[in-house]
Amino acid sequence: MSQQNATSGKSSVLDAIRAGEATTPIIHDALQNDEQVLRIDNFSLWYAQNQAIFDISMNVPRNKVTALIGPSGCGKSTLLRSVNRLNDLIDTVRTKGQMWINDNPVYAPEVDVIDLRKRMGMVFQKSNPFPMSIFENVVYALRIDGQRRKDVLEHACENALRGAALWDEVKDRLKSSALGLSGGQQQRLCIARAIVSEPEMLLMDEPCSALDPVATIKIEQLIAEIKERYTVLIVTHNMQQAARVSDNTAFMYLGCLVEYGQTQEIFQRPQLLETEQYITGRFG
Amino acid sequence: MPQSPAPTLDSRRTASKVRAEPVVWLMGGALTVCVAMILTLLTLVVIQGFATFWPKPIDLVTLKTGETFLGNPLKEQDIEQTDGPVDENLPTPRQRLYRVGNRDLGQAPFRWVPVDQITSLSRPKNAVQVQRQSWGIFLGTPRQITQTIPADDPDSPDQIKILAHSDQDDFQSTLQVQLAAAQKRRHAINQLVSHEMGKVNQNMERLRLRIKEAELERQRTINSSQSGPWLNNAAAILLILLSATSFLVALRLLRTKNPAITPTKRKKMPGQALFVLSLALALFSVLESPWMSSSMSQDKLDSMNQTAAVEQDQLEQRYQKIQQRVEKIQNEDEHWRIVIEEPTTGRFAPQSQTLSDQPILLSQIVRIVPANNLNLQQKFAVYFNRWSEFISADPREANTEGGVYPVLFSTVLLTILLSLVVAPFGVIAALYMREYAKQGLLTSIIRIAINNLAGVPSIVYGVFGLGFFCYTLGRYIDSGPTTNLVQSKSSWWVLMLSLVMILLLTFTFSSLAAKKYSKASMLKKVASLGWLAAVVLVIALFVTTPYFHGFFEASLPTPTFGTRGLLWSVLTLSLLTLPVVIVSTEEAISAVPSTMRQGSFGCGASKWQTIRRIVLPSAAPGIMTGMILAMARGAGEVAPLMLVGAVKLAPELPMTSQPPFLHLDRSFMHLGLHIFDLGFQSPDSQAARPMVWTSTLLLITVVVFLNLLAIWLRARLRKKFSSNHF
Repeated sequence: MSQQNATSGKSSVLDAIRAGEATTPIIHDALQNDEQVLRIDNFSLWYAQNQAIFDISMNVPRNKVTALIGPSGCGKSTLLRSVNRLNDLIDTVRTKGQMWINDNPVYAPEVDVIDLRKRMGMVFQKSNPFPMSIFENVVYALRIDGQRRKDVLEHACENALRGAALWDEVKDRLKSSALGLSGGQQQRLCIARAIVSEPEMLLMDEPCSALDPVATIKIEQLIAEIKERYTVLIVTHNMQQAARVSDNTAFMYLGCLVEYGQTQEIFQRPQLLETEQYITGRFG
Repeated sequence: MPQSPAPTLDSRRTASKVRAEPVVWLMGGALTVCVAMILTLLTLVVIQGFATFWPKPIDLVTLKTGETFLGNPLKEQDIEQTDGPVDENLPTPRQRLYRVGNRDLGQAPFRWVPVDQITSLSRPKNAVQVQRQSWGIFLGTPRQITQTIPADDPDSPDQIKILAHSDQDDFQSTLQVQLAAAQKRRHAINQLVSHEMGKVNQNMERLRLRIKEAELERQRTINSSQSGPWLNNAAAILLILLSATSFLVALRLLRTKNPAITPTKRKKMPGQALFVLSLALALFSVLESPWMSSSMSQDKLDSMNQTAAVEQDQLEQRYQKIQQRVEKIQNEDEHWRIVIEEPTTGRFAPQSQTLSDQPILLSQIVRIVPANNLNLQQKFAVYFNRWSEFISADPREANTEGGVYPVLFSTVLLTILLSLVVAPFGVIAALYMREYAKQGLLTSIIRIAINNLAGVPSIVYGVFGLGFFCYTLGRYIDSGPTTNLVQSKSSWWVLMLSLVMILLLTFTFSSLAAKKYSKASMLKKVASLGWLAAVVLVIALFVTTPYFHGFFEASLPTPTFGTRGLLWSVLTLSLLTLPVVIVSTEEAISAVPSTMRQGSFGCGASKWQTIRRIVLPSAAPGIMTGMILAMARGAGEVAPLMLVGAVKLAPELPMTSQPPFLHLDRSFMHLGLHIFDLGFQSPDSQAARPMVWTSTLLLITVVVFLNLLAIWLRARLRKKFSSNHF
């Protein structure tokens, strides 16, 4: 009881969001100087009549891991899928605003969506290896791009699998079905598939939520390694995970960005009480 | 507060109503009934089917009247008392059915005999059952094998030499040797008649058609020379000009700053436009052939006639030669005869009903079975010999004897062709409905309609196939458009030009109408209208083209495709089984998890790439299931086939070593119809009854075999796409 009073008494950002009022997100100054890969400009999104994302503006810095956290239904996944326009598959989706990936627009009539998606890798919540061999899974993105040369494919496959820390486990059975791998291996295979074409950015939609702790740790280590080469935008439900793997963290609520800053700052000295409450689990 | 007593075990027991034990029993019972019915049917077919070829004993029966006869006992049953009081104390009189054969001696081939009329019954060792080329079986005792030695002097009678007599020890071995020799002669005659003569006949027919075609061409040349060739040339130039203009217009449109056109698209477009243009030109060149003078001059026709006459002479000479060879073998063949006596009147098996004073030729005999004198091994030999004849030989005697090879072959061919046609059609239709079509009212209506099509009685498809495929489409292929539909050449050119224009414009508009983020719905509508118009025009063009005279005009009035045939049967059965394939394919496609699709899209695959590389392979086992169902239904269907292609007796197989190898225009035999024909339509249906069972067994085996094949294929697909590591 007293907790709730304290929340509503000190700050009413979340109340304002609930009431549908426009709020200004708090973006820490430390982020302003980084080189950006993705810039989101006043982006809004509707599923038919329901607005799912409200006027979000934020930057994703290069070679860093940026985590999106927030309660269920806050639009983190929607925002992530908007980056490679996977939401286009749903007929009723409308968007407003713009995103820029390496200063190229994402939402513009002249954009070739297929080409855009090729520039980004995506890893999903549930591992989704294709019903083919491990090798074919990894080089799928190259295959659909028309690459036929065997040496190129093999080279890329090995690199990607090494990048996903899976090479040693599967190098002897590249020709066997990918569905025979364990859950954690499957997810790492999906990461290998996502990085095989050297994407400009890696999108991860709760990549560990269906895995056991051991596999989760492996994936987290992998993310830490990967960020040397790729920019990662990751959606996670797990606060500890966000704290462990990410450099920056954005807290979203009901489609609005609430606070965005360096992970250390967000977890140790958040500027909003609500952020602290959410992070420490005293929220909702 | 009073404590409620602890519930006893009894009161805690769940009511049997809740457990619904009776319902379980009911369901189990229903299942048992179903299984029992299936098992009974299968057992009956298997037992009857396998028993047919087992050699049956031959009884020598003597009746109270003193009459004796030979017969295969088939079954025994009570004589039904229809009038008078039945004496309970007396045993019911019984009667026995004998197959006595010997139809050419004027005997009924089957005979019911009251058991109490029989005075003696024996199984003579020397009695034989003779299976012949015609007139059914003959039961009797062999007496002697004779050879006619023609006299040197034509006036004196021929000498008849007895090669072996049944009293002699070497009779059996002589019989075997001579029988084999006679069969060799018969085979040689068959070979000459069906292959050599058939080839000559075919060549003659081809020659006749070639001359007929040339004559028709000459007739057309005379008719067309009146209109003048300038019209065609002018129209051709006009077409090229117009195409080029519209091509330029299209290019111009592409250069405008339309945001919907990405650089890659822009790069591809001229190529695509060029493709359309070359397609139009190809159509033009095929139909018009402006560089070829198609006219047939009188001189050319005359010279063709002359060469044809020479060829005709050669062919006729060849025919004569073959004829002579056949006659020579036949003359030789008539020297070898066997005397087989039957006990009733002591007459022997005649060469034919009209030549009843001549004993039967050895070469007329398919097989002699001394049924009472066989040990088990020999019986098995006869049994398997008859099975192999059944599978590999042509039918004899209105299909009641001999084999079913052409029937079996055609049935399997039909089923395989059917699945080859129905699979792509069904998969494409299902793919469009599930992946591309907007899920709305129209799609739902179409889906319901397809589901209902599966329930339309198959004879309806037969009627449709006969009316549309055979009599409309087939006739068009044979003879081209009927005369009153043909328009003048100029109007045909107008149609052609409009088609090209509409195609180009449609193409341009549809390219401009980008999918999203452009307000080009108007263009889209124009494009789809144009597409519709193009389809209508294509049909109009084909129906009214003055250049098309049908592919088989020369052989008219005998229809080639304009009658019942294999192609139309395949198409009709495809229509019939299409709903099954569509429904199961749709289910298989929608069962592919959406995460898999999203993964593919996330990798930057286009929709088509996703479908081709992810959806279709994953759905392949489900699609195969649909195919299995379709094949099972198609293979067993008879009613529509009776209308569109299956016949009682087809002279030739639908697939031969003669070009074009697969004769889609031929009618064929089908096991289903064969069974119906044997059981109910043949003149001697009682004799054919065993064959009904065997054919049924074979049909079931074929269906099971084809299904097993498909199931094996499906299992392989499944294995390919799933793991065996767990």
